[in-house]
Amino acid sequence: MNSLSRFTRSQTAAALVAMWLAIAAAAVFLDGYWIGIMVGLLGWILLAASWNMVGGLLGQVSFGHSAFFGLGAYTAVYLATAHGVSPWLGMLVGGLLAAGFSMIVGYLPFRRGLSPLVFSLLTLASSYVLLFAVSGIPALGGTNGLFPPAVGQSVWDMRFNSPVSYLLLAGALTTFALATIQILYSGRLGFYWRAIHDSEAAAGAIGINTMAVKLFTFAVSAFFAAMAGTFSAQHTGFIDPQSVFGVEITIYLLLFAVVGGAGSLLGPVLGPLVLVPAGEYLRTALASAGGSSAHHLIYGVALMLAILSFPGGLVSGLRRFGLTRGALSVPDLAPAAGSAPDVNRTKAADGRVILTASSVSKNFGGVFAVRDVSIEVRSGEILGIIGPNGAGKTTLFSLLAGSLKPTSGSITFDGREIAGLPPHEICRAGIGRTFQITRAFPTLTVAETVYAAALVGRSEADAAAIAGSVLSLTRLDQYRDMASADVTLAVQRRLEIARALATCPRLILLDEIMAGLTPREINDAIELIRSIRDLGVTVIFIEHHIRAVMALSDRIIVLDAGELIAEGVPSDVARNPRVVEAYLGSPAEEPASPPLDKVKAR
Amino acid sequence: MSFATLLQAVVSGLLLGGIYALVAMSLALVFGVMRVLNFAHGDLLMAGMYGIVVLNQAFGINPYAAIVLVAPVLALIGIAVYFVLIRRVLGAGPLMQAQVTLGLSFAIQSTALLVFGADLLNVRTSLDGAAFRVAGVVIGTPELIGFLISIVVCAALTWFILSTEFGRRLRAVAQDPTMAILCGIPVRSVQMMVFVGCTALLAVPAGCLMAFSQLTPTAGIQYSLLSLMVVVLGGLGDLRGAFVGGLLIGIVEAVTSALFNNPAAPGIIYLVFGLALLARPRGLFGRGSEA
Amino acid sequence: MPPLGLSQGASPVNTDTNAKQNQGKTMRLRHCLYAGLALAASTLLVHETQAQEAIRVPMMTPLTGSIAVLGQDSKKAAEVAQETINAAGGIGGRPLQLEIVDTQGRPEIARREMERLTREGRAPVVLACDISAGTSGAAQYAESAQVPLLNGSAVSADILARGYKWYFSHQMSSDDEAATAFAYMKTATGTKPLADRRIALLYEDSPRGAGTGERLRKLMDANGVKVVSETTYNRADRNLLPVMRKVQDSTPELVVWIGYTEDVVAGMKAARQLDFKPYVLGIGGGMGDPRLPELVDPAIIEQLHVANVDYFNPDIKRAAAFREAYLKKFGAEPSSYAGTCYAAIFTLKAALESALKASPDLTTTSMRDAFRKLDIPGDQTVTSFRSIRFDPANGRNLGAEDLVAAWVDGKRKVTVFPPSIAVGKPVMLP
Repeated sequence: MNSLSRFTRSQTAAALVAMWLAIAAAAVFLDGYWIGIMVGLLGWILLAASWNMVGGLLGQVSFGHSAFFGLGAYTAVYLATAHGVSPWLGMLVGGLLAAGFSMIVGYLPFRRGLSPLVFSLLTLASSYVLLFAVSGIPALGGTNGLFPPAVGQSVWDMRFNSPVSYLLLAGALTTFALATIQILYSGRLGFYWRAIHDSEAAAGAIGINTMAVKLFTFAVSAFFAAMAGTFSAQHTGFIDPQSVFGVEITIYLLLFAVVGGAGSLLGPVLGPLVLVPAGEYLRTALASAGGSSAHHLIYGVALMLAILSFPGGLVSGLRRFGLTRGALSVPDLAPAAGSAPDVNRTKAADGRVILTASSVSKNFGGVFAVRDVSIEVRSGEILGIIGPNGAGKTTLFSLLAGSLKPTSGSITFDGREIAGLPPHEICRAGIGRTFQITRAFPTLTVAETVYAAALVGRSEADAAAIAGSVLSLTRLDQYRDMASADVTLAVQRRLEIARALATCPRLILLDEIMAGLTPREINDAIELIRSIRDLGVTVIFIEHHIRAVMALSDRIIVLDAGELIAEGVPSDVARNPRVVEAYLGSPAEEPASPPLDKVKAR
Repeated sequence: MSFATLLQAVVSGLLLGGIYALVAMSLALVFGVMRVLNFAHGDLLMAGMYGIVVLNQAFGINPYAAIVLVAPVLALIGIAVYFVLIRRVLGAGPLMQAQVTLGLSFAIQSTALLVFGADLLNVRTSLDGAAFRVAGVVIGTPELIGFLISIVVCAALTWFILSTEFGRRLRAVAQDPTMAILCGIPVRSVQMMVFVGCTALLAVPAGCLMAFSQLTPTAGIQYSLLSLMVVVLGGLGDLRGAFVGGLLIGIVEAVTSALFNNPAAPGIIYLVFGLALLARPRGLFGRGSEA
Repeated sequence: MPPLGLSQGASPVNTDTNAKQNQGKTMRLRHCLYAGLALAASTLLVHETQAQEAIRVPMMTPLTGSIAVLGQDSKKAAEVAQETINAAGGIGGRPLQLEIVDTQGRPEIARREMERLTREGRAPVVLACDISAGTSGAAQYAESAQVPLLNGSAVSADILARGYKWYFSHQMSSDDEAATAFAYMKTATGTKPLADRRIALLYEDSPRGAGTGERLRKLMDANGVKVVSETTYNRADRNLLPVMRKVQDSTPELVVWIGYTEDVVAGMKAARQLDFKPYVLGIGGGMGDPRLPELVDPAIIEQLHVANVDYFNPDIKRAAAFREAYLKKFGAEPSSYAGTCYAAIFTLKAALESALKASPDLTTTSMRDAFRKLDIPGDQTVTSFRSIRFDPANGRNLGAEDLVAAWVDGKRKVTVFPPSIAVGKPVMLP
């Protein structure tokens, strides 16, 4: 199933066909005014679709897309008026500028993992900065604005007399954007987007380079928004800072995207489709009735009603008609018997040391969560980590998996220093992990989750085979098409393990996977861990169920208050006095005569 | 530009910043207790300002006295807004909250335009143009009164949150709503009372502002954006951060407009805001919550 | 002291019973929404009946947005104009019907409306009483679609520089304003020559302020007049005290100040606080706002000896009938925005009459030709113009001329310049 066939079967393709039919009909039957409305509509669809890439699909709400819109507009118009460059070229340059600008704005927030609200406000601030900056540059017209050149002679000038030409151009640009987004979505990027949207931490843990994906998506989104800006400038015939960089664009954009259904592929099409004509009608109908200033009021009220009534947007409201948020392309996952390219089996469990942590410490503002811990893990072994609550066990895992950086010390895996590497690189190096509080991908099904994890860094065929075999190993076959959010706790835990396994790790970190399970489920979990080791995967697991730890572990290490207090085979550790003290406290001293007795004795 | 003028800008900005601080604190409080970022906060302030103007023009009541009368009206509006809108978007994502409150902002703005028209409105008091000089810096009397009132109210608000029973409940709800319910605190009622209280509180900056400033139907969205910026700069939910953030933004605003003679000057505020946010993403004091 | 931060909270808990209630409420909301939509759709069925013979001309103006006051006043003027014209028999016996359209001052909306009005509505001419951004959007469309556009309000000279053939700017341009301001300064300089005076320029930085401000600067430089400081500010700035102080630092005797009402009021109060009392020559709708004495203590206006360069003042003889009708209908003095729009409507009327004489069918070409032929003497309009006569090369009103009105006792404006229409004497600099 290659990209093209996926595309032709997608919702977007259907929508595009409908769109071109509408354009054709409009060109033939409608007059200039209605064509003008359609042109505006298509422009908004383009802009909303570009926004939806980051704001909806990726989940990073941007309040500053007008920055890119304006960049596209100003670049094209300036190049055309000052240097006689064709707006087609100007559109390309504007798009690249916008993409570059987006990467500047997005770099630090994405790199440092800043909160989405901070990102939103940074983008808002960036659009205002551009608005005022352009106002202060006389060469760009300052506050007076710029006029694109008057109606041109050829297509090359992008200034037409006939509204149908603008309609066709708008249709072409929108088609280009929507098709690109759909094609990207149908491939691995769709999985990456959904994963990052649902749980960024988990996405990193399965090997997705979240920062690269976010920057790339933001850049493409900015490019499309700039295209919309250039087109709008050529169509309107006049631009000034307020009209192309202003916050109204962002406000209407958000409106259309949310009402349509943010995060779905057709949301950005439906939202403008309903709201633009409605707003237009409202404005003109009220104007003829004499209540021109009331249209904003009615619009605001209608908006609140619409969003409250349809929180998921029109796409969710139209679900019964078969509209979905966008199907991910999951191939057939039945494991061909015995042919799973199981990377793990090739690496023999030869007992040599594969992971070494040397004097690793993690300090949070003066408090040592992990202090000077050194461990060695041998290939093929099952190592249990136990310790009282707050001992630093999960922190240690986070250090090993890359979600935290050690304050000091080093960690080597297979001879390679991995301390401080980002989670996705550690995953690619061969370490998989589960999370103590399950971080499922709520909008993905079980099969999609496992497939997504297998897909990172592999071909689709390999990923399908791996996912198929992992699903049967973890006995999740019967839950394949259930949404991850809907399964029971025990199944969720298995899903976490399956997801980590699908990345073909050589070492897997399991964090309290038995918490909250019934005894029967715990037995199943123990069997599963054993079968994981049988695949050749080294297992380190944190657990509170002493019975399970004793049964499974080849060796146990004990942490208390961030320090390693014991290490060895299970029977030795169980008898270690320090361990007993850590769990049970020191034995009580001979009780002094209770004060009450003393009182009574008098 | 002389040093005296620069100092003047700093002082003027500080005085106005005091009012910004109070407006931002009430928004930060709403966010802290119910995790809702109200994009119509400035429009509610504007509604209060219109109330002050109406009372002044119809009955001759001075803006400071009118605060007492406008507060209950704003409280009623707050109740309506809470029950119709806010309650339904508690816990919803920031996108939905933004949309709903933006719709509210549209509605308030258009209503103001319909009812009061587009004309500029203000309040004439005996303090118009009154000022005094301290060390070469001119301090406007109504601006100073506004600043002092705002500081006092901020302090009173802080005292209230720290020392009263309701304040403790409020902090409990802000820090851990689930735990608060388990402790028997009626979380929903606390949230409603905080929202209504913060909206009513806007009567104070409304009165202080109308003593020296002007009002048009588009003023609301400007204050909404401003208070939003201050709250995020100070750290979401961090009241002290909102307070300091308000003062800072007031000063930066005044200094940039005084220093630079260029239409690009207001962009500097946003640049400063953006850089500050990147440098301290969890707020000035690093205590803002992750949204 | 315990931390004041209210952070580190999880999102509030939504219990099951709440969820059920919410679902019910959501359904109710949806029903409200559907009802609203049905109601809206039903209005499609309602037709407006109108007199078949009425001459319908669309008027674009910003009824909402940050410059809504312009639209509001223009709309009021339009109502008075329409009543006056129709009471006197209309245009060629047919009543005039102005259809007011809100552009919000935004160019893309202006353009869209132009397209709708001219294509669907087949309007032979469009009147715009809008700010320069909206007018620019409309003008470039008018030129490409070849529909005449009459500009009633925008002062920007940038559009004139485009050399449009279908654009007719009834309103004067910023060049005219600068020229009048300069001419007035020469008159008002009194005993000292202008070159010896200390003059400061202060203006808001949108096209309205900057357009005239920059041109005036050039004019003054070219004539060797000293500009001790040129200060700009953003109209939305809430804190004008530091800006006024900067101007004060340059110790001017006269401040030429271009702004809108909001910033002018704030600035004047700040000037009083600073004890800064230069003579002030304003330009535009801000200093000329008839409501100024309501918004600012008249004593402050008086102290500053405010005079204002404007395109309309209700006290000139020509405007008497309009002023009376406006006062009767709205209980307030007409502002400059109202006056200029009213005048433009009458120019439109003249063009319509001329076109109708040529042929009973109004077309875009007949209207354009009618505009080109116009030559209306100034005293037949309510403005200070010498005449209404359009330059065929770019649509500029060659007869445009500003007036200067001085505030007396801070309470009323008296036209003091040019002498041909003056009602009072100019305010001399000391």
